[in-house]
Amino acid sequence: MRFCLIIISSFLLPFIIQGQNVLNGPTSEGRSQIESVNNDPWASLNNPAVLAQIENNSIALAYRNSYLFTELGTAGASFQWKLKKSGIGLGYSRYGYSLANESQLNFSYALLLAEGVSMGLSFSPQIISFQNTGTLVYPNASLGFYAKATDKIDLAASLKNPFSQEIDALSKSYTQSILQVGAAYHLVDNIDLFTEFEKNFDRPIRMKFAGEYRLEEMFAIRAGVATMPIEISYGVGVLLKAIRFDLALRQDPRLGSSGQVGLSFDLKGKKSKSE
Amino acid sequence: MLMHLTLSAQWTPEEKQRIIEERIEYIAQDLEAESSDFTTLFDNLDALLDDPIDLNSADLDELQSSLLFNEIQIAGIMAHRKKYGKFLAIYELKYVHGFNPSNIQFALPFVTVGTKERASTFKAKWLLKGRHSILIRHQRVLEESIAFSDPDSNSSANSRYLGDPNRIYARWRYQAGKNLSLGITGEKDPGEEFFSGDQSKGFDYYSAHAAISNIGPIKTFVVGDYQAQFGQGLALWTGFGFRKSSQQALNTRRFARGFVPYTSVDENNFMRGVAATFKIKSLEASIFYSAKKLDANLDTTLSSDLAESTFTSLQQTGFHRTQGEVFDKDAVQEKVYGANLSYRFKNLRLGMTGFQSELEGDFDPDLQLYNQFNQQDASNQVLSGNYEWAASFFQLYGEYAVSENGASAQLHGITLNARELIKLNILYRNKEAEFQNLYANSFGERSVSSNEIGWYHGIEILPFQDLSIQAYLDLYKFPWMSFRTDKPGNGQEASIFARYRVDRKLELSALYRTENRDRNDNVEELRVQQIVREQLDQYRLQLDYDINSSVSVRTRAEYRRYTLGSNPLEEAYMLYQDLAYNHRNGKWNLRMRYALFNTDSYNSRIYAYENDMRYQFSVPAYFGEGSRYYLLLNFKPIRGMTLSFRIARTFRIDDALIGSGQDAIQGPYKTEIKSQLHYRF
Repeated sequence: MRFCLIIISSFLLPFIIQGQNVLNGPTSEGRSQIESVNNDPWASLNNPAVLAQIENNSIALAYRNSYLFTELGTAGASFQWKLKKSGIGLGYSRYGYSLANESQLNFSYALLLAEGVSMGLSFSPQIISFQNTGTLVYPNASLGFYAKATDKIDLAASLKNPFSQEIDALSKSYTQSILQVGAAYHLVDNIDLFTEFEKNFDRPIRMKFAGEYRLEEMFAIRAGVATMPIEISYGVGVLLKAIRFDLALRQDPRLGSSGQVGLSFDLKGKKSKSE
Repeated sequence: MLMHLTLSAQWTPEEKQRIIEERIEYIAQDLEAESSDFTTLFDNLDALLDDPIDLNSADLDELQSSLLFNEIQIAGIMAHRKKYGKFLAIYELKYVHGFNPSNIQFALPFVTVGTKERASTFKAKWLLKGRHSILIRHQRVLEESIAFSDPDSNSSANSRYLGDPNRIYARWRYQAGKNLSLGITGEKDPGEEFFSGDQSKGFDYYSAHAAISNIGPIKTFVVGDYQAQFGQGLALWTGFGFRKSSQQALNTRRFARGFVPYTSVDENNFMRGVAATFKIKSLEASIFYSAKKLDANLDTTLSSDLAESTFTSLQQTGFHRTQGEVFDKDAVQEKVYGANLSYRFKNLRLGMTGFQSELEGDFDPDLQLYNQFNQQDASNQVLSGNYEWAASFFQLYGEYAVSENGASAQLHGITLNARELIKLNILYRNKEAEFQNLYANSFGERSVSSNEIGWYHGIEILPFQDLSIQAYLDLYKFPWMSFRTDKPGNGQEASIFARYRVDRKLELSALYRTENRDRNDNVEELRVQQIVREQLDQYRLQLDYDINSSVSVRTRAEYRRYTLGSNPLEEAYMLYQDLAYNHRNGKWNLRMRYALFNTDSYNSRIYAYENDMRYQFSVPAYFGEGSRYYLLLNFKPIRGMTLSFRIARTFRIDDALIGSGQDAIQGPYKTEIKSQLHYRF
């Protein structure tokens, strides 16, 4: 058992260093992990700039299981609150299990610069813990940009951890910097198309494409595809008064399936669009 | 960035500065050379902003030398004036053959429509109404490179730089309209001494000029440092010359500017002496003399007397940082003198250029098989004839040059403006391997003007007002061996570039470029290399968005593939995000970028233009794995003064050393800082 855990921990480490395991929310998961351009309850973890343009304040919980390993599960919570011309958010994400895990806290703030244009900043310390090694804390930050460029097109960019920190001098390991640039196209009232390009240090540019169809604003279906590696994602969302339930499934051709489920509550009881 | 302008001719000084930067960026975006110099172009555009071209009175020479218009547009302006008389407003350009909304917007800041006749009599008091410009810049890499570290017992004298790591540049210039230009420039490169050792006079490089223009029959008279440009560059062309560009597929024709005061810091690419051009009606006569010292590798294997007069090669870097480089400094005297005659008759222009060049000393180059036809004599003569014929819907241009050994080089082109929707350009070049000319700079695949035969085809299509497509196809061959190709070879290059303007604020563009050519296989143990095919494919997507009059963003994604023969595929990826902010009071602006990249090797490197300070031009190569960011802040504390600060940092996770040779830095960071003061009064 201990040997298996050591193996799993070794497997965990590259994911930790990759920085790909912060919870992104089931909406994003159903859209092939497109994160920067989503106006949803997980903005504080995905793109802080969105906080200044959210329609409803919310609190959300989610859980993701990667490749059917409980040791690779991620759980998280997010809270966001819109102010007059700005927005604030809090987020928490924990990946791993008791012997090896990574947590991230997000304290986010966004400011509306002009009609439909906002920028945001997150302070997001990362805590990596291995039972036999100890705990390391890395101060991280992220910057975001979000704009309703035209009536039909939204643009966004998110830069996570721009200043890399050394994890291990011997193996030349650094915390990952990730740049995401995305766009959303509102084809018609109930159909949206999304795309995002993502880059980190040592992986090629990852291209993601997704679409979402909404039925009567209560029910949403999502699907998407991403490259490097090729993954296919599906998702559904149900909105009942102020409660939203979202479910997503992502298929990796080599590693198998990952699922994510989430609940979000619109605060103040207002109805919101299923996004 | 997109130019956030309407069809209005009222711009603040800050907007004018931004216009020049965007214009240069537009030209430089496709360049793949880290050390491009646009100083002269910058000065030209700067002068035009202060003194715009009057569409009603500018003659053909003025329109051509402005570098704003292509030959179709110039012919269109002349034809419009002839048919309809003077322009009443700039907006009439919409109805001029060769213009579309996109290129009108580019030209607008630099043109005006005058109602008065140009004053034909020069007045001396104009010379006193000019403007001074002072520029001082400091630049430094913070991390210590090998060349500045403490030497160990095994290091040679030439492995350490004699001076400090600072680069210092200072320049003063006085310009009175188009009539008078005075200037002094000094520069010290990193590693060179400053007011010490062999540089007791301060800077390593000095340049100065005094030039008058457009005074009576004197079109130009220059004393000091100057550039000389005639014809299509086969005979004589110093300074920047346009090369193949995906975004300017029709720009193959060179517009020679004759003698131009030299203001740049390239320590080789200019003339030093005296030059004059006289213009009497349709005839122009130019004469020039240049005498300057060049850096050269002296042959130290010979006895000291012979070593001082025998050189094996000329140095082009301009660096004098080590004992060896200092020893080679100003080792050879160069003299160049010649003349040009040019005659214009209606739409036809004919020219002849001839010059003699002499290097004092014995030139004993170490020639290999591939460059055996390079100039071996210390003296050379070149003679050429050029022509240009412009009509409304087509233009012909070309040049034929012969060097002293009898070898020739020629270039002929035609541009067709079939309809507003389609423009075509075809250029043929044939430069014999034996053609020898150190002062040529013509269109082609190689930077040297010899050993190349090629057909270039360019096209621009405007299917809709908001969509433009430019493409080119270049087929070329080298009749003899060339560097890294041990047999006569051939190659093809093609590019297609599309730009779509979604609305006034949002623009999308895409580029695909492919090139394949013969190349040595680079197998080390083989003495005679096998020739294989080298292939490079480039894909680019770009989005430009003007959020409002203060903020604009740009996103670019690029992918490259490189193969050499049967070697494994090498790939490269880059994604960057730019942000530009201009404060509404016009006193300060900010430019920043963050880029992530990874390339399999230096062969698949990606070039990307970066915003830099006035008169600085950055087109760094991104290679390895890592990130790069820069921040540029410009601030105007008082009228006429601009303070600039720039910091750029490259972070590489893949290599212990960043850079190569003596300039290598122990990684993973390389940080460069710059500061600059510019004052105009």
